[in-house]
Amino acid sequence: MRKAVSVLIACMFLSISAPLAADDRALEIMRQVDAVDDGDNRTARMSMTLIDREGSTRTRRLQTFIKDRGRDTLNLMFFLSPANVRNTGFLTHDFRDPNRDDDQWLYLPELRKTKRIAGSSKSQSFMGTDFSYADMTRRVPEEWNYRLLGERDVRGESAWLIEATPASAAVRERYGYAKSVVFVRKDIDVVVRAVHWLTKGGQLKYLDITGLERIDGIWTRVELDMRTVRNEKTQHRTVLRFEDVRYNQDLDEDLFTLRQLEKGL
Amino acid sequence: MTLRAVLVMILAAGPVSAQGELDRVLEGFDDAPAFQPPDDIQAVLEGFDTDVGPASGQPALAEEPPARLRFGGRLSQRFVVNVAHDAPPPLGVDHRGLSSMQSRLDLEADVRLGPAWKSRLEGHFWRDPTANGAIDGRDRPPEFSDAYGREAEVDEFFLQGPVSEQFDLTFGRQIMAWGRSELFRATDVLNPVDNRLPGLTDIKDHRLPVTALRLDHYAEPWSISMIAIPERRFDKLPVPGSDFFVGTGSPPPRASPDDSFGAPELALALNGTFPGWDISLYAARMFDDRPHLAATTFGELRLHHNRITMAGAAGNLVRGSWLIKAEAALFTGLRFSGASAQKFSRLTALAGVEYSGIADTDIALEARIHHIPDFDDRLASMPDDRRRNEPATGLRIQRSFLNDTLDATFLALTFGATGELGAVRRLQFDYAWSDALQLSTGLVAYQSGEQTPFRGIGNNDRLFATLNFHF
Repeated sequence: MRKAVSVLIACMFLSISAPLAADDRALEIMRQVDAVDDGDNRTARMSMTLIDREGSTRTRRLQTFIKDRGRDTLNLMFFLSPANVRNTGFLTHDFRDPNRDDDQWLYLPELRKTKRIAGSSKSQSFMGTDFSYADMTRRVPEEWNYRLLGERDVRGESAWLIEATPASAAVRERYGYAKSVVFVRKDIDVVVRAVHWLTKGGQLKYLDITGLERIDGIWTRVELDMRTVRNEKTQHRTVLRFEDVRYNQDLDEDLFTLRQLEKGL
Repeated sequence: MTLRAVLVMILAAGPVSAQGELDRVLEGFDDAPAFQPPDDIQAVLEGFDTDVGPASGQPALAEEPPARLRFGGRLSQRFVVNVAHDAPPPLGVDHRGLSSMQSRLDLEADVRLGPAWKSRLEGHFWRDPTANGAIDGRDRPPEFSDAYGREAEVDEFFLQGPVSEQFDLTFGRQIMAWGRSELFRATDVLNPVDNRLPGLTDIKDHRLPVTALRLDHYAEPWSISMIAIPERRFDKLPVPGSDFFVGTGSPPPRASPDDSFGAPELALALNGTFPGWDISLYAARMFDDRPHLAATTFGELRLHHNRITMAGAAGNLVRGSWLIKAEAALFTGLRFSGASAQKFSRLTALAGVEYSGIADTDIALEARIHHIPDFDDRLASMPDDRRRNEPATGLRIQRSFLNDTLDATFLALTFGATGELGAVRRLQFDYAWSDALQLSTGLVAYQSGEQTPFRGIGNNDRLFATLNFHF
């Protein structure tokens, strides 16, 4: 868990931003996806339910705050439960510039200590979930190639199928995906499903947006279901759920400082 | 593969100009999707049709109550077995076998006092029947039973809140962590530590809180902490009867330092936090946690904690998956038992890296050195047992398995250039049975060295297991 936290909450608000490339129609669609308003000054409560292959569950609950600062993003989150990690806090300053390291701090209440943490590999699991850091942050568009595969209905809504492949071996290594196929709902330009082919282990990851609500005019993913599958069998599964999502809150930049991180909620 | 699928594959891969035509052509099929992906992808997409159950079947978030008062705690049971001791000499203490069966309760309460002020109260109680011979019938010195048999203490107990927009005040028993190191204490000097069982104390319980008045001023990206510590509290160390105790008899009593409230310890920290790096500057006027022997005016030997001065700095630098850390501290006014009339200084320097670029793995490597520039050969004798240079290295490798259900940690601390001053190795596994129940188990192996506290502890190796229930 101590592993670094990049931008967890972003997964709720950001559309899986899209790799852009050769197929102009796919490029056009993904530009529309990227242009969808993801809101600002947001607060939410989040639960992460981890489910193993036997069906045993562990649930972690957090309070999250997010604010845009120019092209960069400020995130603050506190664990509410379970008891052994209660009051643990994460603060991240995510820089849009891919050449700049994000700033990340972890507050460990058991040690009364704030610890700066270095960035992890983007293919690494986020806090033991089936989501990786790559799943939760915006990809650099130029690093991916696109192909329009077709159309599919998702829960009665028509969606584009778009394949994204890494444009270089370095990107493939960094993200840990050989390719992805994303479903973009046509009427609202939001990614509602995705499949990722992992480069190692012969695994697939299925992302299903099982909860999508329009909150303050912003399409918000309030429930995400990610399954890691091997040989058509689910190995592990994570359900992220967001509640009490609020936009345009009075979040001052002073909230996203070590002072607040150490004070807690 | 259907003809339509073949057409789609060909056309979808073709120039975009074909897209509109394809759309129009496929509009002629009323009951079919306009496109079909290739068969390999189509097969994968069928994976969305599964019987694992809907995500919405998971329990909903409970409504968070207004947390004006919140209780929590931990109930734990620990078993420690000594695995390497030989049979004791006649009249010696038998350290073989079960050495701890500690039952422990930790309680904590957070009280919110208005929108910004809060109070925290923590305490613990533990009891260990092995320390008074209740389990094995072995005789132990009374000081051993006192130190290892039971304990009830108030831990953190403080009031905290803003006194103005840029000032926070914290008053009460608290922990103040300085420095950047994970494995050694170079500038982290404000809180004493519990070293009664070196290598076995839970990291949460290692630092001992002290009563302090702390005022923090914030002016981003800088902050300054001004601290006064009236409480005199020193390290908890092994006592006679423990296999970690070095010596033949009880140490002399401790001389009371100066009046606490008339002469508190004072400390100052200046912290700067910047994108990609940070720095802290420290200064403290405090009592040395490590006592020295000196005679009183009546000629009685006492353990004295001398006033010392510390000036130090610490910093971090991030480069990709690497975290680089450095600390340095100069201590002046040190006194030693072998030359108690003379004051000495000591320089402590530390450098380290942490790497988190391997999936689910963290690696930390640190090197530290104590250097006494005006070293005197008398300091090499017992009970001081110091060296002019005391290098040490630490390595920690931690890896998570099974989606963070199981953590494995290997820790190696080596003192001296090659371990000649002593060493500790620890392998630990932490398994989360559920959100509330965790099991920690492992082995601590000690290597004897030429310096206290490692003299003669090579047979103190222990297996341990602790079951923790958090609530």
